[in-house]
Amino acid sequence: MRRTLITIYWLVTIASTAGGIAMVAYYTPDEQTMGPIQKIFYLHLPAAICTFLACLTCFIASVGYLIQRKAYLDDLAAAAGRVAVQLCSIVLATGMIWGKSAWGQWWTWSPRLTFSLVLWLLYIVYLMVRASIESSHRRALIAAVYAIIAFLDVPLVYLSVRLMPDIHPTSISLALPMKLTLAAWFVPVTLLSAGLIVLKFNINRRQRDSAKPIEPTQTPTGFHWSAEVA
Amino acid sequence: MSGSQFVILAYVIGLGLLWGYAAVLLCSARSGNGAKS
Repeated sequence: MRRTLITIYWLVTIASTAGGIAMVAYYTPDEQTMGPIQKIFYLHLPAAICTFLACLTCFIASVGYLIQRKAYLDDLAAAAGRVAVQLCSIVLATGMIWGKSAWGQWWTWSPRLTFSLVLWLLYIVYLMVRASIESSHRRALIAAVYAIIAFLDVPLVYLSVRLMPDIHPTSISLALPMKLTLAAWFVPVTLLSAGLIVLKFNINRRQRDSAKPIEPTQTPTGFHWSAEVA
Repeated sequence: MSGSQFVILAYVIGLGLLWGYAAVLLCSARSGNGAKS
């Protein structure tokens, strides 16, 4: 039953991705001033929103870990952090391609672009911090504190374009077919993001279970070292 | 490069990253990577 539901989930994700591509290619019209390049927006915006959600998941799981000290919360934070890097890479790549066509340059140091790059680097460093600490308890603790601090950049990315002068557009007026296409693209990107976090979380949890440390147990003849059987 | 080519490039990179990572995770989950020993 569980396997069937997972299969259905991924089939719906594949179908909605195919539907989204078909809508971009055949249904939604080109925007009058920007032309076909505006169509990057349908992938760029959902990926940006899902980046925020992945960062938020990482933040909440990290706060939860600091309060409850449950290993599964650390596994969830690690999974969400990794997916946040993936999604932020897509946001930066699609944004740069947009920039090259719309503004004539791949990159400009505007506030939103700079804070987005900082966000990407912060979460790459989060993964590097995790990889560099061997002790699982120490790693979970330091990573949780780091993730909470790293999350402070998310509101800066969101607010920068409103608080400071920026080349990045704040809003784009959309016709109905464009709105429908944008709404349709939220489905595959959100499903993919959630699916990736759950997949990675399950892999992390299994890896933790299979790598439980060998701990000493006291017997009448002294300490006996044995692997914990999960 | 025309506008349409930029759009295709953006979608290939974006979806390639997402689905590529999904394929890697699905393969490692199926092959029992990190499974209980």
